[in-house]
Amino acid sequence: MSSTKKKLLVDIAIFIVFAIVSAPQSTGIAVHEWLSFIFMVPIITHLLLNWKWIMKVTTRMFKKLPGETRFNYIWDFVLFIMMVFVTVSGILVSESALPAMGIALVIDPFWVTMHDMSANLLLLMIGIHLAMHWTWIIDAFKKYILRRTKTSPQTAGGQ
Amino acid sequence: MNTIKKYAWPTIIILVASLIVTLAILPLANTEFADGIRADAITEGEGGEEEPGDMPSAVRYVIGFIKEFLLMGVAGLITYTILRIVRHFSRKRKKVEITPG
Repeated sequence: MSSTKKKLLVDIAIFIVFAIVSAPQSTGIAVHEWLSFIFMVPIITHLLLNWKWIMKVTTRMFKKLPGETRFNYIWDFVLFIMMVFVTVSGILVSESALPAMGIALVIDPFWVTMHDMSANLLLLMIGIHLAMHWTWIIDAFKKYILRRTKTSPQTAGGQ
Repeated sequence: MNTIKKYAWPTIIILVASLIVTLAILPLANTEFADGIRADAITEGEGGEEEPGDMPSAVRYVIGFIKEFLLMGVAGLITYTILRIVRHFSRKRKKVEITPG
């Protein structure tokens, strides 16, 4: 399987799980919390599959680099920090998963507020992340899901 | 085996980076800002905030997803529009740079 196809499949999985995880009002707290734990696996896989790009840009960060690539790198770094923030604050306000594991935490209203705010901010940030890679997503989707070969998605995006 | 070797260090780096961010986040709970939010939460609690209990479950189910797609969609749409404009002008500028005098 080509690396682009692997990336696309992992990204589709991330999107589906993220869509479910981000709507606790719809799915219920238990599904939200347990699925959030599972969500860490595709996220780490996403980073690993793009590791080459991360390393390449890291080493060239203070050299000449296209503006869009530089923006993507910084944005993805902030996105990673925000993702960890949402996860940690989510763990600290767990009402279902942690108590089920025998860990009972006193829920701090500060972390509840922080979790809500950072989760909403994360949604906006993901929207921007998707837009920055939209051309790659569409090209890869056409090639590997719809089986249409027009352009090479490997060269289209900054992923 | 090769795959494990290939991804072992990156995985460790990601986990260590996550740990560093976590350790940086946790002290936030001891700040004045956190105390302010706690005080606000207590005041709101005393005010008796209304729960959307009478909302039909189907509506409540859909609202979660609508909010999510609105937040992502609006941010994405604005970004994509700006990106296209920026790409358009940078392509034009490159053309001018290439064309002599």
